Amino acid sequence: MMNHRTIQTPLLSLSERVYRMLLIAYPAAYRREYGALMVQVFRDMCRDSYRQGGAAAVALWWCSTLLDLVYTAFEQRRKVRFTVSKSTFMRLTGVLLIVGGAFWSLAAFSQFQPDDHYTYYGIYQLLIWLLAPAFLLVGLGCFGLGLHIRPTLGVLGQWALYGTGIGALVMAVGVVGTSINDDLWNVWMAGGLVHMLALTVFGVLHLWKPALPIFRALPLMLASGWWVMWTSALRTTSQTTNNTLSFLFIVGMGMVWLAIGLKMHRQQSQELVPAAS
Amino acid sequence: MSDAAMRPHDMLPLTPAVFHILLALADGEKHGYGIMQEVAAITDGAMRMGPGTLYGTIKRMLEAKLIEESDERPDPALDDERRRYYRLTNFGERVAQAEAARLALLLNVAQSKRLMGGT
Repeated sequence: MMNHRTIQTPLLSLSERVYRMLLIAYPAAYRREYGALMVQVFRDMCRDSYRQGGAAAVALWWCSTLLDLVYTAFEQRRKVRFTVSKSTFMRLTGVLLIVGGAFWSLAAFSQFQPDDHYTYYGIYQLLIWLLAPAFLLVGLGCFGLGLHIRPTLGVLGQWALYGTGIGALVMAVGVVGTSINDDLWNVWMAGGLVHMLALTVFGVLHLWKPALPIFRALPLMLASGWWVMWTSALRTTSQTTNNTLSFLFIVGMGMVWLAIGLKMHRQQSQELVPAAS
Repeated sequence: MSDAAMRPHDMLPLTPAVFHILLALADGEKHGYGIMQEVAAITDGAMRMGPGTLYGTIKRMLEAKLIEESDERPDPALDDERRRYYRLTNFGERVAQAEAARLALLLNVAQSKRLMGGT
């Protein structure tokens, strides 16, 4: 009895640590009241999943937990009238990008839909459930990054990131809109174009003067990924090759946003230590 | 406001999460994880609440006095002291009964219109 409590693996420990970190998305008062209980339940469910289906079952549990976290955190924030100060928003940047990046990478599996890509059914529905929230979170995260880099890259760098964020938010609207009306595919494309161009400008600026705690060429590499995706869409070879390439590019982009988020979160945590002691 | 002053029908219809938690607590108090397991069991795994949905709903139900925290531990030897247990209030039980009656009525209508399989 109570066997599930004795299982402990690096995967479960890491999962618990990441989930505990993501709880920052909830309002502080809610976190104080229910945070520890939520972590406890998450840990128990992770162990159950692991016992029943191994790492794959834990990954599935993570998918549903991430969705649950985004929607319920939004709900709890809405109740406190979104009283997010500028400093809190900056502190949330890392978490927004971590969750957004994770969603982005998971959404890549939509590319394995074997047939028509222009209607949302089958695995392609991941675009609605994962890519739209990913664009939303990364878009908001870009605004947070913009606030961070202002002292180093000035107004141009800041607006390049705001443009990247606006493009991502427009893409989120486009993804959801396309499910209602196919013509709104153009909104998605327009958002993508704005995102790609603004990210390219930021990438060049960052190459010249690194402002974030990441490899200086990383933003430009991310922008390059968009350019490759954009142009390769015009030069199709076979459907299977295209699907695999798209999958790899989307996973890569998601991982880059996730890495930027982790770096930002680590930097913010280190900055908070002296203040707290 | 006392339980007697609150009318169960004012709370209807309940959201699926609220009704499932009321059902899970109908046969005794449980902690969060116990509620999740019970909900998964009674829905044959179809409904699997995440921690955010579970505690967001519990928070609302505590505010509406449908459930309350319990200090008792059904089996202290097997339990973690940090867990919080929840149980139905008298009002919560009456709300659950009212919702069940409402759903039963709808079920009867569905049966009479031959919308149920095998009827």
